[in-house]
Amino acid sequence: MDAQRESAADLSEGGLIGAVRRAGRAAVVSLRGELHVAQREELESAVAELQREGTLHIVLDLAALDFIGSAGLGALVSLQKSARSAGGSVRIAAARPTIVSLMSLTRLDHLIPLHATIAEAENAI
Amino acid sequence: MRVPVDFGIRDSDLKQMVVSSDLRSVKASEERIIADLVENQYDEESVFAIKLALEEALTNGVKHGNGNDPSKRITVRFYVDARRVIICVRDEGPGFRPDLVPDPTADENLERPNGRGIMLMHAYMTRVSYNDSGNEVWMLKENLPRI
Repeated sequence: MDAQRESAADLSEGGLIGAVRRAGRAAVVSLRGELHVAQREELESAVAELQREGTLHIVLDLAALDFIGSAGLGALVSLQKSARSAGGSVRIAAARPTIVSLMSLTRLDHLIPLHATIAEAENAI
Repeated sequence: MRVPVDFGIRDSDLKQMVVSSDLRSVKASEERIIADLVENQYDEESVFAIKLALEEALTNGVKHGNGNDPSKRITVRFYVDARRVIICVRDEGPGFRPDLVPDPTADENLERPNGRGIMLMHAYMTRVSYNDSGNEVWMLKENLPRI
């Protein structure tokens, strides 16, 4: 990965997106709080903006994400499909045990790789 | 709309909320139940599980049962103590056949954006049962002590 890092930008006060760190053709998007149907558009818009800027690979940092429902899972599935169609990828990093378990239960860990740390996810790109 | 006999409580033990089919109203009902879980000292993992199953049941009732029609009601009945949580969600729709919902974990269904709610309810709750019409679901979560 490109060693240059842009400074983190706080995209929305109190929203789902905590910060976005861009690095070449990849970006780390930190989510916080809860991902329900109401937050889906915010996530999809943020990722779409990154893709328009040329970002192919997205690492979703879930360290601060407390909860995700099936609508949120659907959003992640759609993001992966969209990324792959453009030659990119979505990876998940630092998810809490409850969310790791959820991803395994739904077998979505077969679709979206999970990594223990952001660095591990970035190195896998 | 009677509580299943083997859930171990009486109908009169249940609290009830009737909410309109909009996100804000159902969210408030969810928060009411979560507050009881916290008061009864359910651990983080259990709260996550119950919250997830409840959200799926409410979303299905609002979206599929009531067609997102805010004039239609969702009836939520619930009971919480230290040993178990019992939740009933009933919508005003015609019902459906839960046994006909495709397995979302099958390879051919993994990339579908929807269809995981019922599977998650079964996975995270101890018991899930629907009435004959399919517009009412009862869920039980036993709070078993951790060894």
